[in-house]
Amino acid sequence: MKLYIENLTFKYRGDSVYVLDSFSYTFESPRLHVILGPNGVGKTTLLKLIAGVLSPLKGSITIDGGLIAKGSVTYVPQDNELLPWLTVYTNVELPLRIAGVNGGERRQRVTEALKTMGVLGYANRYPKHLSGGERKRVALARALASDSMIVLLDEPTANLDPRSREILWGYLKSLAKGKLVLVVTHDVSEALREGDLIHVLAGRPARIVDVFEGGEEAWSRLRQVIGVYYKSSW
Amino acid sequence: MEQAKAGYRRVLQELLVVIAALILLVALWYVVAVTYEKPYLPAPSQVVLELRESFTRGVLVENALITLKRVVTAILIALILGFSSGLLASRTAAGSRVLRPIILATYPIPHVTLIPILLWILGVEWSKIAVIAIITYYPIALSTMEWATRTPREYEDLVKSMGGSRLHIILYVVIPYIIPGLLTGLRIATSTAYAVVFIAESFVLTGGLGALIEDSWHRFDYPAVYAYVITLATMGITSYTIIWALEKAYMRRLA
Repeated sequence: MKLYIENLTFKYRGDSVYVLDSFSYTFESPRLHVILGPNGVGKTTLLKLIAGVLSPLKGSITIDGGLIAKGSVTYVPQDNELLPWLTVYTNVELPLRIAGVNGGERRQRVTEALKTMGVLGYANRYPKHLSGGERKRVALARALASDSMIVLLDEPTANLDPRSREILWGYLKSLAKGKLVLVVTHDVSEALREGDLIHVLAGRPARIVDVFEGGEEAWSRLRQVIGVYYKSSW
Repeated sequence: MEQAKAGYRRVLQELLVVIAALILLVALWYVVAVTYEKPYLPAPSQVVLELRESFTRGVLVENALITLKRVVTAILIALILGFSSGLLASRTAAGSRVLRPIILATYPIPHVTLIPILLWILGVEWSKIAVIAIITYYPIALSTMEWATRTPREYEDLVKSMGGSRLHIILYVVIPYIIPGLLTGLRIATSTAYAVVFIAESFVLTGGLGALIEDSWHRFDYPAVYAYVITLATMGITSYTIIWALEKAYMRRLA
């Protein structure tokens, strides 16, 4: 499966500068993609555009050339990834309700997803009773239950302790075996270690200035990129 | 669980303080009544006797129920109209252009003065209900309006990213978000409602505690006036407390 972004153009109302201008790019699944870039470059904007939260001025986002169907994208924002007035169970069930999936099937899919993410025991709790890492996993369970092809995460490990980060990356990796997982972060070392493919977003309007595989050699590669695009400002 | 227990303990403590204050108040009343011996200040024991008497005669319950029915009917009407119009005024373009200014402009009118006019239009019974409904409509509509305009964007985005429509956003984000505000509005509305019901019921006497107070006042039946005022006050305090407890319970679940 491929996510095609074509000629995507966007700027915020009242801003004179375009965040994205004729931005074209393709993400391929199943892989764990990481988008790296400095604060304010447009990483979150790009995610929100793919999630359908923001509407582009121009351009299109398609899956294998077709329109993105309801529920095929799960968006996990940095904060407030769950609705505080719904239980864990209902939070995971919500996209299925919106998509009109019938009750019996909903129950089965939600239970299965909660089990896979190791949060079935919290089904009847409210999000405020969960730790940051647990809340992220519930959000991932939402992606599993709604069988999303694309999972978008904005700074998922921000505010998590090291152990929770490790656990979360483990879940993300296993999720990325069947789906297109797109993680936006400015935590460089983590991104380089855990990501399959690292995309570096830079400039205004933003564009992808380099792509390389994660792992040991990624560091030196990134250093070169930073040297060219940011001097030492990163 | 621990948190819930601590919460209940605090509520219990507050309740004890209220009861202690009430006992103190009655004691003070007793002392003043016995010292000055004025007819318009009967001793608490006389009022209790009056309460028991009108209770056994069935007058108290019958009229309290009439009053309660009027208040509840009016508040239900105000709740439905206030909530829906508040939502329209804050969440739709046409609503915020047309409805919002109308609500804000008609709010400062002293609506109690409408009673004589409402009497002509709606008749004795419904004019009472209508004036309570009109007055309690505003706190409900205004708090709905205010809370609905500041719904957190991120939660709306979340539902939008699931492919949710505007109706889904209203259903799963706006309504749950404004419930605390709605309850606050309802709480204020309810205490106002018990004040207004007295005025409405004492304007044309057709039953209810307000009518009993007015009637007893004209007959210089001092203990009876006190007894009915206390009954009306108790109803007001009870309603207020119930809504306040609901508010607390809802907020505790969220934050």
